[in-house]
Amino acid sequence: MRVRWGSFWLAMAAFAAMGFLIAPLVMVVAISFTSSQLLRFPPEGFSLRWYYALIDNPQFIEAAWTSFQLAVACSIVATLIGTTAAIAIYRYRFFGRNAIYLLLLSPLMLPQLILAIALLIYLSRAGLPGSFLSLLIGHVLVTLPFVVRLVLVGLERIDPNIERAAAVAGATRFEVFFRVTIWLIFPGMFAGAAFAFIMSFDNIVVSLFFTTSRMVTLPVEIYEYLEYADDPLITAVSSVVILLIVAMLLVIEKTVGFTKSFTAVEHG
Amino acid sequence: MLKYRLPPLLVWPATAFLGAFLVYPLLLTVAISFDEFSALEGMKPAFQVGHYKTLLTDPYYHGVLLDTLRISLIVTLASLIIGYPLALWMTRLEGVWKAIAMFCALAPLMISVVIRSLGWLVILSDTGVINQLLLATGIVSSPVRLLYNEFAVIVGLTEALLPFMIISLLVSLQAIPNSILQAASVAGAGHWIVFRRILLPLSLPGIAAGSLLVFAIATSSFVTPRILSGGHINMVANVVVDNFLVTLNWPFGAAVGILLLIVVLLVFLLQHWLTERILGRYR
Repeated sequence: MRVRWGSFWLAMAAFAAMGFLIAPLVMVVAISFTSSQLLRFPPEGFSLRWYYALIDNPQFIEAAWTSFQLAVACSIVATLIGTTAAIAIYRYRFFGRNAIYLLLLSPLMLPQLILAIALLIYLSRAGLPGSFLSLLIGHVLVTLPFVVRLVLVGLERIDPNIERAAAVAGATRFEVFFRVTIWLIFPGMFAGAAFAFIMSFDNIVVSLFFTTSRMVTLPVEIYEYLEYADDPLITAVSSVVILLIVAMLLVIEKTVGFTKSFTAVEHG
Repeated sequence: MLKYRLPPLLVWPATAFLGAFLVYPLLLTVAISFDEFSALEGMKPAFQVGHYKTLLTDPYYHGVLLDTLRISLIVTLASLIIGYPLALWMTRLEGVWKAIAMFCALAPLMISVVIRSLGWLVILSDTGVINQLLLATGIVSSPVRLLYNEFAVIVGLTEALLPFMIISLLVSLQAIPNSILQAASVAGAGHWIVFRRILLPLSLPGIAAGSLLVFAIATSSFVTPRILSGGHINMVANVVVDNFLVTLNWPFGAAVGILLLIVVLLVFLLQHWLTERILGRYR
């Protein structure tokens, strides 16, 4: 038996809060199908003209391609160094272990803006201002803690008897790791890689400092477009991003649990 | 399990990465914040606290600091008031419905604030949904200015940070055993008593954690304030960004950034201390 109290008003308040959260996204998607020139709700008629306009817009397409490549690269690098670090933290006891663990998670607690300006100062001194590489370094920095946490959560859930069984059956330590352990932590790695991809793909705070006139990511392009123009083209490109991310989140939810993973990262 | 004295090879790549691109750059930022700057000559290595002094004494920056503090506090309070009923309601759901509600509440977090601000730009404009509604019902005769002011910034930031509050609240609300609520109800406690005497005290750690998290992120936001105030309101983070990307006074920008960093770290320390205290009292 669940306790029911004030259920009606509670549900109303909850729905209102949910509406408040989702309203801006619904607005953006709805307006992207307008046939008029104006950024207004309700949209006039129904047309795909702004999606056709989007396909003909080289700036957005190029920025999307840059963002995609960046997100893939970031996801690979963050997963590689994050997973290895998480395994080391979980398996071994060594000097400075707690300090290193805190360091690995620290980008989660420090404001991204501070990480971005510090990196900008350093990289411009090192002769590497805005470029794909500097964007990649910045994105790996902010996504690394997600991979570390998610892989660690995966490791903590492993039943040690499975690995013991493999060892008893004659597998070397090397074989145990590559034929058993790696498959057991695969869900955590996958969640980490997917989070890294998404967070890189729509990062604005770090990207803003490392984009150049020739290397612009999609969120920065949208941000700059907002400064000087306001036609529904921007809602069309935003809707594509929303669709892509929601689709990815649904896949994560179905496979490893998006909300579970996210809660695990934010409340470790 | 093997015991290594030195950190194993596996942890080196990530540690080296963070040492090179996080620790060292942060130290460099602290150093630069003491440098001199002139528009003609650029940065000159020095050790002077002029930038910090300006920041803490100049009336303009006082205004910026106060604006940031006020906006962040209101945003924190608003997200607590809006988030609490939602989180509480979600703990009462089960199975698929719970999964759907969690997804709807957390998914917006993964979508860029640029896109969400764009949505608010449309909702709050003079011809937006709210003004259409107000005009149609005859409450006002001409559109109310909802955009490009502090109100818009508060609305946008509250929506952007609400999911963080919800996660924190959910974690602590879910930890409350249902049997306690049932016992209270059997003993004749009404809704208000259950809330006031059981739910509220037991969810205090979540309230503290969520509030401090939202506050810390709000103080370092600049994208939402920039878009929704149309550049009319400068929060502390906007000053940092402008100094780095527009006026190129990096030493001053670095000083503002370091100050912001100190505030955020203090907030997290406070959170740690508060959570321990609150948990201690009810343990």
